[in-house]
Amino acid sequence: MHLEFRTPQGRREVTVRESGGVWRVSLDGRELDVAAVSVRDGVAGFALDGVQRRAHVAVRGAERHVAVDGRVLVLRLADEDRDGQAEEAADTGPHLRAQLPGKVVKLLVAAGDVVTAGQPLVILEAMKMETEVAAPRGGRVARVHVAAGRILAMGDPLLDLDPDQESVEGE
Amino acid sequence: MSAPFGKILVANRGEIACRVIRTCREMGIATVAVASEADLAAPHARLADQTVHLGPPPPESSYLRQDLIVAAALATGAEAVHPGYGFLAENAAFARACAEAGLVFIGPPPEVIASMGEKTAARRLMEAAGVPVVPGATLPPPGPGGSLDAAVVRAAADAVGYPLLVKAAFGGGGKGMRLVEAGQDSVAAAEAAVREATGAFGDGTVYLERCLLRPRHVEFQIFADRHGRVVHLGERECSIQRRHQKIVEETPCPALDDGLRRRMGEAAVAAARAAGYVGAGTVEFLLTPGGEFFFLEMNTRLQVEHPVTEWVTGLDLVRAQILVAAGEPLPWSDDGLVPRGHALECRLYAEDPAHGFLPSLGRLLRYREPAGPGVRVDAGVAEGDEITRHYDPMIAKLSVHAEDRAAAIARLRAALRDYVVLGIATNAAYLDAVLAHPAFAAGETHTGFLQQHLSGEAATGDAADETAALVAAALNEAVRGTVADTARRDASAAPAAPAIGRFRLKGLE
Repeated sequence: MHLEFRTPQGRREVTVRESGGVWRVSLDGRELDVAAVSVRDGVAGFALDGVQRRAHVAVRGAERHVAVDGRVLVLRLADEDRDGQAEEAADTGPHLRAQLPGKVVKLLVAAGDVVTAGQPLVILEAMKMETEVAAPRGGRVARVHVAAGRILAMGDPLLDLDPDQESVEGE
Repeated sequence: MSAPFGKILVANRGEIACRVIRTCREMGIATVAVASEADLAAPHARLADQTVHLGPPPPESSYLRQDLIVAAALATGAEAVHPGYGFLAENAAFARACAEAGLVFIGPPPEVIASMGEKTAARRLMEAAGVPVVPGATLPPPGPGGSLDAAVVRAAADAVGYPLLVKAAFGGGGKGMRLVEAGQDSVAAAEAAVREATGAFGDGTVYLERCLLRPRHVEFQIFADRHGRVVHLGERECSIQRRHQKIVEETPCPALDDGLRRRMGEAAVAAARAAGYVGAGTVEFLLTPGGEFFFLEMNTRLQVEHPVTEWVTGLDLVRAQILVAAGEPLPWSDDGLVPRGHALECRLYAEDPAHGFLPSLGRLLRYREPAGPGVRVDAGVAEGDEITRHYDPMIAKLSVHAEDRAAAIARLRAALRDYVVLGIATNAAYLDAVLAHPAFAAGETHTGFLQQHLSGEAATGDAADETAALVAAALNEAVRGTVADTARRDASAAPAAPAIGRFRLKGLE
């Protein structure tokens, strides 16, 4: 089985083969020392380089949430990851999206405003705390999608940020 | 001994509701839970004998609805109400409403809640009782439009000394405070604090308090019954705070020797007597590196971090609360109160340290608590639960008990490693970074610890082992594929099973 995962570091390729209870696992073309494999109900036990490991794996759509040694990593399985592919393609896109579900408490900017990187744009409220959403880069607010009082789901567009005037003129 | 009450209504949710219900069950007391729309299937609702649906998820529509909660208690025949912590626990009006409805409020009398809730009155009471208080000054209430007399503010601030904090008189728990480092900033800071306090607490009255350098937050658990007995159950150090929210607590405090503990304990008991206290309460002090201590505030409820006290004393504080509320004397003798070993607790939050500690909302895909000797989990969530935006982001408390502090740190780190939470981000790695820090191991804790040692990059802690995670995910994928294929094969190969019709008991229709 050939699998491609997206990690925070980039793409990783894993191949897995099982024959007669013996597993062979390769990562980015390099065979790993994996033995004593048992997988059941989303818990993978194995020996990696001779050291026993036990990890929990949970599935949400294309995401694979993995807990190992008290740390969590969220991987994305490339084949099923249509959203992720669209995101990568639109990486330079203008939408600034809500990173968490919440309620818009206050809009600090309006369409037409020029903002600098790090400038607070919107105040959201979630779980009794207010958090500021800051501009990831400088630019001009092209369009605002929300108003105060609006309840947001994760990923909902907040506003569109056009690139810096300078960089546009420099092209 | 028969149960002190027949039925208790728990006016709270999450882990503290589960905690109270658990002790009630042990005591043979029937329990009533209250639940908002979002919590109808929550662990606390399932644990109680009955659950009353309060209303839509927002607290102001549910857990803060005094009228609905009192009505629920009366309708279900509950005799007493336990408010937990937060929500209505320190609301004098609610305590009064319970009393007027003939319900026993498990906590101190309404007047005591009110007097300790107004922080400048609490300070005055303590000063009169000879309890040292943080050098400070009350400011006159603001005039129309929140205006302050600049000369009065500046004179008071100069007298208190710098740096100082402007605090809300009706605030508490670290909310609504402003730091003033020099005289020229005092008036503007006070005016801003008045505006914030008015918005947050409905009252703009503020006071000034000297900001002590690198203090430890050391609090004493006190308990008083209706028979005139007031005791303290030792201290808890809660210096590890992020934005004034405690995340790690322990007992005993590494900086206390027997003499200092005795003196602070006596001051805590004096404070409780001065307040006319009944029930469980906590007197909070700030302890300077030089060994001076000052009263900070008194909390008229059971604290979040009470498990560490239960660990070293072997006592059940909720049980004692219920007995005291029923008019019983404190259920332990003075010589029974010798603490043993060391206890350490950390709070697991649904937040992402790698992204500014933003709340992390979503469904718990996998949830497995650690276990073992000396390990305790107080949680109000279960696998499959949805963590929503409506409530406090603390999902669980993990505490341990061991022979000494070093062993306790090792035990807590090991337990954190075994704690599996998937589907939302948590501060587990951040907590581990605190516990692993040499300054923490050395007991060099103070309220500025996190800012000093764990801001910026260090805040996220060690990253996950990516290779191991990829192997695990790939193996899991291979097995899922095999299982799915097998299921498909079996389904297509098996003969059509007869449909199960009505199940009929022989002789009956």
